[in-house]
Amino acid sequence: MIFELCATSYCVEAASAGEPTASAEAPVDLGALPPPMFDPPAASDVEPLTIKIASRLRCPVCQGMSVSDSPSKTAVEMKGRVRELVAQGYSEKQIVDYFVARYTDWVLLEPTFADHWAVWVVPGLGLGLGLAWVASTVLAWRKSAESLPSDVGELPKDSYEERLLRELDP
Amino acid sequence: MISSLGIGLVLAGLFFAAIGSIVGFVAGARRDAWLLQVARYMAYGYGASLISACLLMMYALLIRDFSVHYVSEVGSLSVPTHIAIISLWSSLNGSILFWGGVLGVYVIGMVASLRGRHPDHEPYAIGVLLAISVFFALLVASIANPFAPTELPIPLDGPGPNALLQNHPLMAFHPPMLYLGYVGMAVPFSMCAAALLAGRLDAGWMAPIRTAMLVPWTFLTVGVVTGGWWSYEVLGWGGYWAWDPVENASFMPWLTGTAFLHSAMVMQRRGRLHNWTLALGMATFLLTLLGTFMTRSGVFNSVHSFTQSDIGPVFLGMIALTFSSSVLLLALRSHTVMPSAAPPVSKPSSRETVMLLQNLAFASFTFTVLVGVLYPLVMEGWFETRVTVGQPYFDHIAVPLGTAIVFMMGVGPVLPWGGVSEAAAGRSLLPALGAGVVATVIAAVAGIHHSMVLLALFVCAFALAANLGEYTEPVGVRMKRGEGVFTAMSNVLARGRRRFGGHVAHLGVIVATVAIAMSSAYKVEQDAVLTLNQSTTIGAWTATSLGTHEIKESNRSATVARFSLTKGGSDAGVIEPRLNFYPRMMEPIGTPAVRSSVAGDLYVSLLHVDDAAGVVSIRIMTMPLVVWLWVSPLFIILGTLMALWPERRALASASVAPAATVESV
Amino acid sequence: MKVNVPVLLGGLFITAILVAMLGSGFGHDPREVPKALEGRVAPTFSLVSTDGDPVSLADLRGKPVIINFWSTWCQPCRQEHPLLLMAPSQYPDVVFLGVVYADEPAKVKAYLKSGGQTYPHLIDPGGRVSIDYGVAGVPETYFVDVNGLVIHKEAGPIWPDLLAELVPKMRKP
Repeated sequence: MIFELCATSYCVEAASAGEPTASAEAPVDLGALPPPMFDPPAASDVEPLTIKIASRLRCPVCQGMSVSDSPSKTAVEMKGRVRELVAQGYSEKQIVDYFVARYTDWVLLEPTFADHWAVWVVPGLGLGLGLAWVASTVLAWRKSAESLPSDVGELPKDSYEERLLRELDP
Repeated sequence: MISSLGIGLVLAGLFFAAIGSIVGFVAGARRDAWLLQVARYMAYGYGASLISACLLMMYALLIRDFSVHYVSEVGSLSVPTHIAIISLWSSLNGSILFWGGVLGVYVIGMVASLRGRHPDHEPYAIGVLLAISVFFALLVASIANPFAPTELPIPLDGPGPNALLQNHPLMAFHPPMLYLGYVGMAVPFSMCAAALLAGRLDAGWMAPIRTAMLVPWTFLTVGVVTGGWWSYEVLGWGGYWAWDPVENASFMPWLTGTAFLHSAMVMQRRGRLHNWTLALGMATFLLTLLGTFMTRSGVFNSVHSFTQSDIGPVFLGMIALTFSSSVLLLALRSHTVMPSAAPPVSKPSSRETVMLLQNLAFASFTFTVLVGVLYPLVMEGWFETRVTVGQPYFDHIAVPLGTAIVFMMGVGPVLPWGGVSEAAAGRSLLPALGAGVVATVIAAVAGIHHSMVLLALFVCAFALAANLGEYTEPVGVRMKRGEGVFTAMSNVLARGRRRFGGHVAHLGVIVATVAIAMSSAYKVEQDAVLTLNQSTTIGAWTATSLGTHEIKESNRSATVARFSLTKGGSDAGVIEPRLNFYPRMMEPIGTPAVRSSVAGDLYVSLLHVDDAAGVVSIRIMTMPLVVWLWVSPLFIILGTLMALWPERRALASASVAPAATVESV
Repeated sequence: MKVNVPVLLGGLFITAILVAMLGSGFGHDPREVPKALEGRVAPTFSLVSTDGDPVSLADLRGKPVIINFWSTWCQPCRQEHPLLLMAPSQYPDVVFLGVVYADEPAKVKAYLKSGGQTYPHLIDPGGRVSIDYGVAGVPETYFVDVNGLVIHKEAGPIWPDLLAELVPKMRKP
């Protein structure tokens, strides 16, 4: 299943490498950008959006650091490119797509749900199973307590007395 | 000379460990006191041999004996003495030797501290721990042998250790702490396994296991935090945690270890969760093995990775063996440690329930991090697809789980064991909830509008009030009965050092949470390109470029940029971020300049210097409260010391609580 | 003997999966970067060489082009430099272009003066072209065929047999 999903994005592109001339429509030239989607933003908006976008991108030469964070030359240049594109009015999606087209979705620090749902669903399943386990354990505890003849589990309601009891309980 | 002596010591260690392990198991099965004594001597023998081997290697590094292969790999005449010594853990083979040596310390520590009081369990614990030692001694003696003689001709000088290791004094501190944390997890593992092998897990054996977990857990806490600190001070990116695979590797055992410390409490006090606790204790060590594999196998990309080596498959074999034997032990023997009876839990609103939920949160956290770490590996290995799982993914998981954990940290201590009615539980939580609301309102009025930060502050204030209340209320009760303030305070402390140790550790977590929330949400950064005497302003700070100069040190050269600082208009001195050039590195490694205060840091990272144009590029940022993150482990250390401080006298004189008190020593 | 079957089966299952996952990493270089551009049109660019001559990739359509990204601070780049120096005389129909990655023009000029130069080296202000090509380190070499498609990307230094293998493919229309 994962493989099929993969086959619709990156892998297809890799597979088409063998027969590049077959594509009928004009192939995209990554060197020529489509026009920006918006008017150039106000100067004060450029930097926050730059940091936001660059934080989603992986610095290709670093380990685990984002383009926004890394002080490496490559990251600084990539961040500069993000800043340039933001200033020209490109949208966040356009800019992210721009980098994905060049570096594949490997450049995204967070895997997309569409292509990599397993990395999101599996921990969720784990948490769900865990919650079921907690619930069943607590219920089992309660049942065994109810089967006891007396109300040994009942604690004094009075807070003063309660505190004293607990103080003694190291 | 040193080569042969070192190899001799390692082989002796291997011999002691192998014999001791077998003797230990036999002594356990036969309940033979004499054999147990033999196993103890073997354990001491292993410890002494491997510790001596480590010291010998340090000596070889110190005198730069390049006839030892490892020294020729990482030694250099040009590096200062302290760097020569810490080179012991700077490269693969040395680090495995160091592993073995630290294990030696723990082997001796375990045998010495058990003091023969647990004749049923001790032989098995020694047997298992020495079996682990056999593996590491074997590694050191064979494929990772740092003592191998250098091929002739012996070089006159060596290249020196990894430049990143030379760059900051924390490198002398962070790796040993982490090793003490990692390696030490072998002890609770062995003791848990001993409980299963002996078929008995009573409170008398659970107490030393908890101590055995608490010690390496504290080291691991310090190691993880100092690792973040090092990253902050050295890597120049203004952050401290990148969810790098190896950071994750150290974080996972910390999570399960923390869960263990809590579930062990449920087990000791209430006789529940035996198997789960044992599984957690064993999983913690298994995760440290996984972490060691991750740094040394060359299959993960990380700032910490050693170079590729053939140690990976061997280590994977060890992981497979240890995992499956742990599973077998649990599956075949867990019925032997089931308690006969446990105090009832009459209401779901009980401390047991909170502990269970807390354990679930920690376990899910661990599982998620594991999935995130393994996912790229699997996608590449099985599907030939390259994918990154990075910071934003982990942050999305960590923020809700972390918030829930801190919240439960406040609920747990307030609810009694066994449960109370929902109404009573609500009543006892009210004061702390009130404190949380008040703190949140104050923060909002003070200008904090980031919703996640407000939520974090709410849970922190709530947990703080709840944990403090656990101390102040009994003090108040005692004062009402006529005790003086100080008498009451010390009396309350004396009654439950262990418990208050826990509360103090909780304070550390609260401090860290506030620091993390504030420093990440209110970090302000900007990039600037400055010509001479040009300045840039960030918040109250203004930095003015004073130009650059070059300096030469024995092991590196550096370009230093000088900036004069003003804060709020008044002079604040000079800072000097720098770029270091090491002979073997192509790109420079920066050392950022950090101006720390309790309120927040100013952080300046030098990105680039263009001499021809006379400009410097810098990244400058401010982060509030970040210092408190480095301070937070002190609370945890203090809490651990309180919990571990011998308190038998104190308890003997204390009044006896019903049922479970005897177990809690 | 009482065996806890769920623990046994579940635990062994998890162990097997985990070991298989960890083992799957062997033989892969974790530092390798994906090759997004292979099989796609080489991004066009117009840059100025260190000698001040403008070079536009669009004008070179119809010719095989080898684009080598490098910098003076990169040791492997220096290693492959002699090979690249010789290559243009060996393959006169192929256009060789160097693109300077994250480096200063002055240093590049000095290096070329002492190390030799047989084809233009282009200055890439702000790393734009490097980013367009998805460069994630140096050296990287892109082999562009007569149709303007990238048929291969080599990360790391190239070697003579690689040229001998790829140049004929690049000539095929």
